[in-house]
Amino acid sequence: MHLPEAQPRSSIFYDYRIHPFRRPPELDGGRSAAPVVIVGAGPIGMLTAIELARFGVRSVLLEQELQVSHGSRAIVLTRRSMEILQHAGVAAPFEAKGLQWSSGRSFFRGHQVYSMVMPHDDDDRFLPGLNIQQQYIEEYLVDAVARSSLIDLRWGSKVTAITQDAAAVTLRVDTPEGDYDLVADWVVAADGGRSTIRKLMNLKMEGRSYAGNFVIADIKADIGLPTERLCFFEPDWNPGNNVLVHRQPDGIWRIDFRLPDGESSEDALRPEKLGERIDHVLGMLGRKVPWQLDWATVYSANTLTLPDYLSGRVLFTGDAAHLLPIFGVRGANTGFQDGSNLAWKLALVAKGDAPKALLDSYSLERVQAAREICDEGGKSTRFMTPPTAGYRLMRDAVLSLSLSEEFPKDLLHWRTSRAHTYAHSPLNSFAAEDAAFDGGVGCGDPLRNVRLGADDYLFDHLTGAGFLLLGFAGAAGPGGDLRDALQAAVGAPVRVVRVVIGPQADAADALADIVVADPDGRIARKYAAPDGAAYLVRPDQHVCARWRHLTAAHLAQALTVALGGAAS
Amino acid sequence: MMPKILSTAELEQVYDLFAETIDATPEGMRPLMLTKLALALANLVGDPAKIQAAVAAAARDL
Repeated sequence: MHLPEAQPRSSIFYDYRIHPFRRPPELDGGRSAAPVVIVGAGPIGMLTAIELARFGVRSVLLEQELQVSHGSRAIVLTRRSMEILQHAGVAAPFEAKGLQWSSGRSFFRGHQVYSMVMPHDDDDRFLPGLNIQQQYIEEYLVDAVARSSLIDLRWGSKVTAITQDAAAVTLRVDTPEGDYDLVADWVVAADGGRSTIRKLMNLKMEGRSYAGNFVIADIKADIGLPTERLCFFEPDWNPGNNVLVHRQPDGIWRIDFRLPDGESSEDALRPEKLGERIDHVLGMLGRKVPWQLDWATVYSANTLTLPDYLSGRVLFTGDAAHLLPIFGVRGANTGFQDGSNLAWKLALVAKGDAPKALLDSYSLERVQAAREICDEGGKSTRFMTPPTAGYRLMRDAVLSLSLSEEFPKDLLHWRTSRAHTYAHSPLNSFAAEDAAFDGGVGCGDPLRNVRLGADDYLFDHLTGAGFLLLGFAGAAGPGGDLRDALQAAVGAPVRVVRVVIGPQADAADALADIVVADPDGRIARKYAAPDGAAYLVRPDQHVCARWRHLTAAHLAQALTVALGGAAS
Repeated sequence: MMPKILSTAELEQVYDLFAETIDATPEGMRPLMLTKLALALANLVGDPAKIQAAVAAAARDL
């Protein structure tokens, strides 16, 4: 019998709420009609469920606990994550609660040796980073899940076994009232770094683990510094190691430091030892203020990924699929991109609107992304936690040189998680037409936002679950071939949301589902799009084909490819 | 202040190459290997004034 903790966790800033276990129909001989079961109601599992629901696909979401995340864990959401949350229709509470930021400073021996302002375009709605505790991330997603009639979130439900054949997957689910079998067409493993599904299926990750251990401690303190990334290399009190400081909502500060080699986690988390180090950090910040500890844990850095995220009818996503270094905020932010990539494909396959091959592209694209992140994150990790004497000597040399020289400072760049480009995706087509554009947004890239006015951005208009066809029309509205293509889009095998962008909003008439007025041509310029041009955009906002001059026949071909069909 | 000549990507490659070469050299031989490296690079730079500036930067803030 699975008996999850029924008392709310304790926290000095967050009121945990117990979500009661509800007896599911399976315990009384009934059966769920959901084609998809998602294991793990963390941020990625919930986003995937919400996205599936937008496509009209039901899911059962299994969570072994009765409450949200223990501790603040993932605290930085990138701009791309916020755009994904906006697309899923759930960004508002994140924007209201989170602290947005764009810069960081690094110190060595009391001197500022590096500062960076992350790129921010006036066309972007969100700043590069937004700090928010994982409890709030999960709470807001739980609220969104509760609003959907298509998601059955089952708290206190732990998977203990998994079997599958060509037709279905069967999960054994243990609960406070006994266990039952749950049958699904597809299972999404979103059950985190210690994934039960990954272990039950005996799947091995590839890559490397780094030796150093780091402490994360959240304290409540009146520090009064702005929201930015602060990094201190080798402070006197922690020779050879480094410290990171991030501000969170509710007066909470994240302190993150590497432990001396050989020191155990238990030893590091002893209150008096941890307290002494927190005092040192506050001294270093020049803010020796009173503080209270909320939560602390120990982690180490990994660059590990499963080689394939699709195993029969089981799909892996987020930390269940890969363990990535914390440097560059790559955990939840990579996971959100996984979920966004997976959900539309799984929805179309589950509904029978696309061949199973579409799911292969999920694994292909996201394993490739994880490998790039392992490579990139590995560089940051080798700087932040040098794995050998050679890397430590190089790091020390760069820090020492950076006190008087500029040239090595880019090595202190922390390489933040970015939106991935699926330039080599099998879902892309019309490469020559893509290459014919002079700029704009290339095949495989995520769409780029455009500011249209005060609190008004292009992405605010691009709602709806489906492919997007962005058609660029002149002052007279879409003419000729573009008009034919827009008309043909209605009969496509999947939903294509027709977006007409042009100087005259009212000239677009009944050919468009969404009309975006572009009186100054800002959107057309950002997309390098002449009149008659068009972009075909996947439901996860990545461009899969574009033409300077679209015809209906080309649109049909590109859609076939984008659904995992034959190449054009 | 020395000019930045290598691109960041090139500097990253150099960083990894040096780190791995240090690791591949027996511990007692590392100063010798690094000194040979400095001499070889000085020869390639071929400008005594630049070499002097590099030596000064290297000797600072140890």
